Amino acid sequence: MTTPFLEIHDVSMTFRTAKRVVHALVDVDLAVGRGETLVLVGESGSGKSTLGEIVLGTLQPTGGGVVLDGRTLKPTRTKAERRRIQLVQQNPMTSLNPRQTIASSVGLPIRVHRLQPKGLVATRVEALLASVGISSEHLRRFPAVLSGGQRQRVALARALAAEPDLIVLDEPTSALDVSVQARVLELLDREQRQRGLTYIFITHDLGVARSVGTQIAVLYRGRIVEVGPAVAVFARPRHWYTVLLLSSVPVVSAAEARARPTWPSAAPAGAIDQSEGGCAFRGRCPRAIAVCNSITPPLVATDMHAVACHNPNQDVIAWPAA
Amino acid sequence: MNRSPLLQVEDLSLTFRTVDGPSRVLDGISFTVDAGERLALVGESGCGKSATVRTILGLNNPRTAFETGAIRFAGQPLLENGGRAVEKLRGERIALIVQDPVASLNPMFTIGNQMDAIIRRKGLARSASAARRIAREALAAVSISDPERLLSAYPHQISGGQAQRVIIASALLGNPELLLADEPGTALDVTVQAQTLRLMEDLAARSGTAILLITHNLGVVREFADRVCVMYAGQIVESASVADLFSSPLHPYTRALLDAVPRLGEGSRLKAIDGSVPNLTEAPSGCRFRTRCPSAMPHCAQPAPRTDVGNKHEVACWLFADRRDTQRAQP
Repeated sequence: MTTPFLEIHDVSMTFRTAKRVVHALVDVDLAVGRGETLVLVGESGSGKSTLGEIVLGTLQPTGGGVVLDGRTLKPTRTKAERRRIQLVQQNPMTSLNPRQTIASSVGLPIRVHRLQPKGLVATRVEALLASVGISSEHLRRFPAVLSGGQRQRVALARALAAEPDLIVLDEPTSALDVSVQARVLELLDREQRQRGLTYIFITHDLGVARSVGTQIAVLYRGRIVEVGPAVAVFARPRHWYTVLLLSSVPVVSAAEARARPTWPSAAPAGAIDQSEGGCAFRGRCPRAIAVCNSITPPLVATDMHAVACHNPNQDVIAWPAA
Repeated sequence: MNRSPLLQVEDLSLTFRTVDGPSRVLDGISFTVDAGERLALVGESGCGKSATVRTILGLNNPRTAFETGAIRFAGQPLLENGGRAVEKLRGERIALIVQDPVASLNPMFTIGNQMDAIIRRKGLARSASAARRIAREALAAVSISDPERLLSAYPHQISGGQAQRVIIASALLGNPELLLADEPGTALDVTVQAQTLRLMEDLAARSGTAILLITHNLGVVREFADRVCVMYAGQIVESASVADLFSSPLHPYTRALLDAVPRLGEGSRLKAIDGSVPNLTEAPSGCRFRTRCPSAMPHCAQPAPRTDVGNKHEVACWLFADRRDTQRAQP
């Protein structure tokens, strides 16, 4: 990755409610090259969707900013900037307007951004839908008649209609069956190659993360705890939260089960207190040491692989070839 | 070892009356669950896994759902007399856990209040203080560190993982013989899901409760169950011990499904299954997978014979029709 296409610079997001202050994101620094896929993994509440919204521009960060193709994006984005970054959401049942025909939904970005002369919009819509495997008989139909997998492909066609450079995919296959998921992932991969698209792929499924990602960033309570090339993060997970995630994945082969790390269940020896500051993961960490209570570990990089841990895992995992 | 099974489902079919005509959502399924056993029904949306659970519990609307075949629980027939028999078993000898633990709790009442109702309904305690004590112990058994605080909390004040523990603890109160678990923990994070399964496993082992696990996740099946039935469009296409199914899957659908699961290893290539699940009002005759099957043959339009290839590994597919009773090396 020589010149990053999208840079996320020290992004922080703090929500204030009457009762409390929530630090949804703290100093998140990430970059992704053109044509690559950056996967954001983490559990619910880790801030991955918030980060997606900030990239998309639907949410203003309280600190830091987003740089696209060398240009800092201002809080109010221009129409052209909005076109360049599109979104595919998790729930295909609610992301399409039920009162709009499929052709009308997919045609909307083309009309809004005047990407085709009026007479050619219909042809373009048909071609886009054909490329995601939706036949022209569905053009005049409403989303209700489509299956979940078909709707998700329509949502992807709609995102592609804007001719974007980057797509934020927020759990795009979580609501789908595995056989349907495989087809949508295949399609995403093909479109990425053909159009040189950059993806920010948000998922909680590590198997999916492994099969789509070039870069993986692991979020825990609003902070990046580990980031690096997918190969490195899976083979040498250094943060204990990454190890915990990998040890929790239910796998389908005995070979994967043997390779998968086992979570050390022994509780840390009295090193933990509940004071403010320190590492957010220390209460669940099997290798927490005294310093974890007081100092939040900084993200330290060796090669391309960075980890925020005072006492990182050193074991290497030999995954079986799939 | 010739005990009769705890739950026996025999040639069960379920047809719904719909505006488009009859929809046969279960097409002659048979399986058994022995006491203390963990059986998984696995398959994708619309394969009939949840319909099976609802039918066992007698929750189908008798005006639109028609059942044939037999379900026996501890020898007692459940489908006869309009399913009256199961009413006495529900919640006592047969318990249910559904997917979303938070939605399973009533937001208007405290956890303590809800557990109290369950404990008294099951007749485990007469007084409020005795019920409270049982609830406290049940929560402690699912590793809740401060049961008293949790009992005074409302559902919105606890985490998804805690809600899941409350649901498991409540379901297993009074040691039911059978627990029906419909996608437990699917709505939760992978770390919590792993905990949930371990907890269910521990508790069920302690109380000798058998579990019928409904899931779409083959990884969960492999890690949790003793035996597994793979369902497709209302039919059981393959059933085997978990070890046999994952080491030598036979049915083309089982194999395709396994190929579609993303792996953690390198160079993972996912294979999608061509086509889509048929509309069950116009389901194909014979094997319902034949319209998508790469190995389909003309006689797949006839019902596929169930072949036991050894070690109770049964496959409903014409490809294996000539392998009946052939010996196979034990793993």
